[in-house]
Amino acid sequence: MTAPALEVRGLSVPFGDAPGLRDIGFTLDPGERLVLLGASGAGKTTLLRAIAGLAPLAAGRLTVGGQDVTARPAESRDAVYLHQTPLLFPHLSIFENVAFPLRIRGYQDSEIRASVAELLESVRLDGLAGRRPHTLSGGQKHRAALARAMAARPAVLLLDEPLAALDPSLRDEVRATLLSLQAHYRPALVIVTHDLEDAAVLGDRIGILLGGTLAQLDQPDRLFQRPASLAVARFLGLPNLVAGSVAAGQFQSALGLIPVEAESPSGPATAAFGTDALRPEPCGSLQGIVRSVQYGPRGATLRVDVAGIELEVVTGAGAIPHPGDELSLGLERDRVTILPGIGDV
Amino acid sequence: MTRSSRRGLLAALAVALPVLVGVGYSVLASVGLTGPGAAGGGSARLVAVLGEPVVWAGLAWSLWVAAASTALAAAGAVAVAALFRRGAGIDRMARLFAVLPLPIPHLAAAVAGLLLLGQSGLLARLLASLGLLADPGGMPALVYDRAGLGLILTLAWKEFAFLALVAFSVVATRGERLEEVARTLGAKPAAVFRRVTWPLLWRGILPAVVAAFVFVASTYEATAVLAPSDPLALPLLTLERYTDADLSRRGDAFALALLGMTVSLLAVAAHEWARSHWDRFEP
Repeated sequence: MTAPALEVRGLSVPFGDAPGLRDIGFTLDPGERLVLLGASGAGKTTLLRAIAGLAPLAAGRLTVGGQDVTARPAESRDAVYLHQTPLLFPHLSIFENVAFPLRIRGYQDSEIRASVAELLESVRLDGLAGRRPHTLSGGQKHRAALARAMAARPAVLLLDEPLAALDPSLRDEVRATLLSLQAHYRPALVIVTHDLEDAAVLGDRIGILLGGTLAQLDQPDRLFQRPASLAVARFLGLPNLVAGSVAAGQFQSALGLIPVEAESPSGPATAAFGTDALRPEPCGSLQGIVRSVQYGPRGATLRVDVAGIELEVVTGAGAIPHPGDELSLGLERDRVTILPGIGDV
Repeated sequence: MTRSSRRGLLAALAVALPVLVGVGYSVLASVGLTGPGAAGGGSARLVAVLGEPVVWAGLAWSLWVAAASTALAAAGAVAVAALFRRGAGIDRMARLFAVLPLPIPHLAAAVAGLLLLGQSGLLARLLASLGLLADPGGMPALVYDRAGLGLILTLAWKEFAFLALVAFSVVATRGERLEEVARTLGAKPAAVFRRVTWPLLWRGILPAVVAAFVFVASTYEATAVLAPSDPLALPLLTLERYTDADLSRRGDAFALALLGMTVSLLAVAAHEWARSHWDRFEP
């Protein structure tokens, strides 16, 4: 059985005077991609730095490739950390930047030349080997930094907001390069981002850091459809949060009754669902009045008043209603998550 | 030419004007075309001055002092910047102490050097009281000595503060994050220093090192207080000729000033050459 690429157990990291990160735990298989999402200041970068050995731990255990690296310095962890801006060594050529991990490991020149040539070709920088970092564009610098990271053949690659500072066309370019390199060299990736779309595209699993803890770790489809808590639903920006209560195995609200699992506790609760759970249909169970229409590339986003509750609906097909029109909506109840606590729209 | 480039050119000319006027005057005075004692144009005086052994001895001695004190200061600055880098505690205090000499005037530093290092100075008395010297007079000559040790130490102490300030800035602004990158790529501390910290540091402080060298090579106050009279350092020789009762020798001072300026220009040219050939100096 292959050892996990990264195992984090009970990790706590101080955060100045604040409590910081507490009891973080997850396991990552070789070649797996984990995306960490969280609000600014949630400790995403701190977690990456702690895994890399650049921030002190208060408690916990880290293993990389089955080896306990908790007490090891950064250089002995087999985990490469990439800053948000690609930090290439300004005094070295692009070739020497990529060769850096190989030189410090004592490889022969011929091996270094071959390996660097392959890496530069894979990131389409083979014609720029002799250039200095300051002469490269933003996207080229990112690709060079990725090639250098891969040259170290790390078990784990830790990427801190790798796409945040890039314009849309460069984001696609760097994202494609990252995925292609990862498919070839197979490191496990831990990627920090605040962009839900990047998270959905890049992550095999997504972790949500809230209040210093890992609030949920799940596959993207489950995460967006079944947020584990109201806080996660709010963080993910689920547009429809409807307050109600659970009693006798049913959630009751202005939307009507929705059956819940038998073990669900009674009391105040919130129905959370995305725009994909609602759709206009002639004989839908919900009747509302369109309050506003906002046009976008994927159709129109409607704000619909249903029994005093404003719901968000996306429609891309058929005639788009106007503000003031009556609208009948169907609700896919199995796409609705009932969460304890109140979080009205 | 655009309006902004015209403005840039005018600003550059305004900044350069005093220097150009000074150089122009020095050239004219050194060939006897202007100034007190001017005796008509000709290179005879210039050639005569440059043929004096005392001039070359003074120049060599000034270069020795400048090179030795700048090298000592630069080595100290690099060491302190590399060793004391944490944000708080002893490191912060060490950085503060390192830059303390900055506001002290060179003349005051020179007098302090004299009081401390002279054969009847504090150091000699301390060593004698500790029984390490039979009497203070047994202290090796560190001031007015031909090797210029006292002057070198004093100037190194002063320039160390300046170079340390620059080195701290280089490490703080660029070094730390690049060192982190190197570490997670697998570089051990010695490799991080050799392949990242040192190349960044020396590139970062080299302009300041050249500036310190040029300054020290032409500095007057500390040299006047601590240097020997034989050989006479170039700045002292220049002033001696300028203040000579024989006004015809004033042109010599301008010729010597031009010599000093040539040394400075050569140092700047060497720096520019080094900048364009960084790779040759990689470890």
